[in-house]
Amino acid sequence: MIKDIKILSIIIIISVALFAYTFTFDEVPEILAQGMQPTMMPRLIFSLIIFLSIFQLIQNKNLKSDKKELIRRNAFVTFAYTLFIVLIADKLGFLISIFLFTLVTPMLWQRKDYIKIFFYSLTISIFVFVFFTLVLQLKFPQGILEEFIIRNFY
Amino acid sequence: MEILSNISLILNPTTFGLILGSTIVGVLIGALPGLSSGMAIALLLPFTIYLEPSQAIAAMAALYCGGTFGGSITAILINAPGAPPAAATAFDGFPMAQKGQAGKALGMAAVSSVVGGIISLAVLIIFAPTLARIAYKFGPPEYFALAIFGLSMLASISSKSPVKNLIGGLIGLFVATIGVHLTTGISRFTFGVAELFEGISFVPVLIGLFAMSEILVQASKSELLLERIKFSAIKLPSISEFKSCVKTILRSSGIGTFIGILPAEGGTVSAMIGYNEARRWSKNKDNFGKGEIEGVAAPESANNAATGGAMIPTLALGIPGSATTAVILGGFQIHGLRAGPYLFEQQPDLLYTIFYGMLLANFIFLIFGLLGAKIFSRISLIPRGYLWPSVFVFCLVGSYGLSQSMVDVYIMLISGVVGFFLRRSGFSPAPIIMGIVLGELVENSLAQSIIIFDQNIFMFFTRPIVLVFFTLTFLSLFYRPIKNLIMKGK
Repeated sequence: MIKDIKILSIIIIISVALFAYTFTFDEVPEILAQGMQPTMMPRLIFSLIIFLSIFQLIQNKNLKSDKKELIRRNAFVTFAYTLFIVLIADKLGFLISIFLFTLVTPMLWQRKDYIKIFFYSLTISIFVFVFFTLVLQLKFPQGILEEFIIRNFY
Repeated sequence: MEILSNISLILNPTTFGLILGSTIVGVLIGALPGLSSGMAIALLLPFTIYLEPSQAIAAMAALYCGGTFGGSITAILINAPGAPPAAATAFDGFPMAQKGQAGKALGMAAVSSVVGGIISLAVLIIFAPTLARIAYKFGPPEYFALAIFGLSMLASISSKSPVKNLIGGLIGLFVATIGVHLTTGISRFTFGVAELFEGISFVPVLIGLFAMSEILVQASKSELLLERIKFSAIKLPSISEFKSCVKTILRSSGIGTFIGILPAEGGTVSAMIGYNEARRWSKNKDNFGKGEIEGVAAPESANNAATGGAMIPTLALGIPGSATTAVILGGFQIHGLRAGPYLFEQQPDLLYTIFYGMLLANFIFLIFGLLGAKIFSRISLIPRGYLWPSVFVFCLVGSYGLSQSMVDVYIMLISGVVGFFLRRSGFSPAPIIMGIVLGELVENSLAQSIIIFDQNIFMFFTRPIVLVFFTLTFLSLFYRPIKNLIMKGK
């Protein structure tokens, strides 16, 4: 397989799709556009990306694809868990989400010192609360659980 | 005299404390393999909003200096450069450490870094205002040509593929077009998402590309067992050792400053060229790679000199000299500042605060780098299972913090995944960042030029400065292919 064919093909396909999408933009009268329609810059960019990607493919035509290191299962699991945490963060509350993230991720990364992990995640969550919420006055989404705790126990 | 009278700007306890803290954080971050000063600034950027602009920019510049030096500690002690600019330091630094000369290597790294840093700062304070005065003559066509030159330099930054760097820069330009087009009010690539009407916020993209993608890269790696070389005490290089390296340090400082000034080039390229030149000119050529002290002095003075050099186009023209200064330019935007000649006229204090901040940072890392090297190197042995989840917490809080919007967190996550796959395919995040930073300048200056030239784009070629930049652009894009053709012909 030609080197970088997958990534460059994806870039070309996305660029072509976005180039085509620019035709859905409204045209504005010349007097308002002042010589430069809003589509001009994106079309110029995508044309160059497509040209350079094809040029790179031609340059690579005699080069075989490097054997890439496989993406380890851990990367997928970490990403899936990260995505899960981000999606539930505004429902569960930021601080609880951070606690859960820092509690589980070290275990996903093969750490087995559970007591240390617990204190680590507790410390990080307290640090975020003290520094960002109390000192910098950042308002994080509280979420259902934190609201419940604050309403009933605070 | 004006410069001396402004020293009081950093003697304010808050500013002094911030510079001190940022430098130490910079050395720490620089010492941690995988974490870079650019990433650290990106993560801390949203929180600088609570600071005075001059304090925030000076703190970022100090972190940049500290981070560049910090990489050398782990390069010497565990053969794992904390940051890419320190990669060349490991070539001779680690063999020196293996021979029981870790203290001497660290001492030489610190001293040559400081010399390189101070020389480049002297160049900064002399040339940045001069360059800014020249830039007063720039109109939109000149800025357009300059920005194009900056982007074309992406072709020559250290990467296996210049074309991939250019594609990366163009992807960055595309990201900068997202949002409502200011002149016409037309929405571009917002797909009906109201939060995107004002454009994609720079900070979450930065955090995603630098930090989130690195977390995924680290998740793909197995735990590395790093061993720290033991050393008893830091020993400064002797006068005779220092004398033997003076020429190398001065040469590398010059190389580093010059390369730093070139848009897009940074510490990594400077350090490599500084190292190669030191080997070329050294009497002890054969000892390079086996623990030659000049092999530590050269890359360290060059990469630190590049920090001051990179700040010159950043401050005077608003064109980033390196990936980290591109992030610092993002800091300017957050604080409502615009780097360039008018900054010198309207906010001269800012320039002096940055200058003194960087100068102070050099002395701070000399002291803390030497006294705290043991601690800093121990920090690099923190298990990844604790380090990277903590980095993610900063990604989460940082991307949310600026606008307090979950959309920014999603943007950070998407940028992280895109960055991860691009990095696996040999793309670097730095050109994308440069593209995003320069995007607005490219489009606006082109639009204004078209109006000035009454839509006749050939008028660009009637402006001498534009012609100079276009010639430089041509050279940076086609120098290598032309050289290869000539070599083939021979």
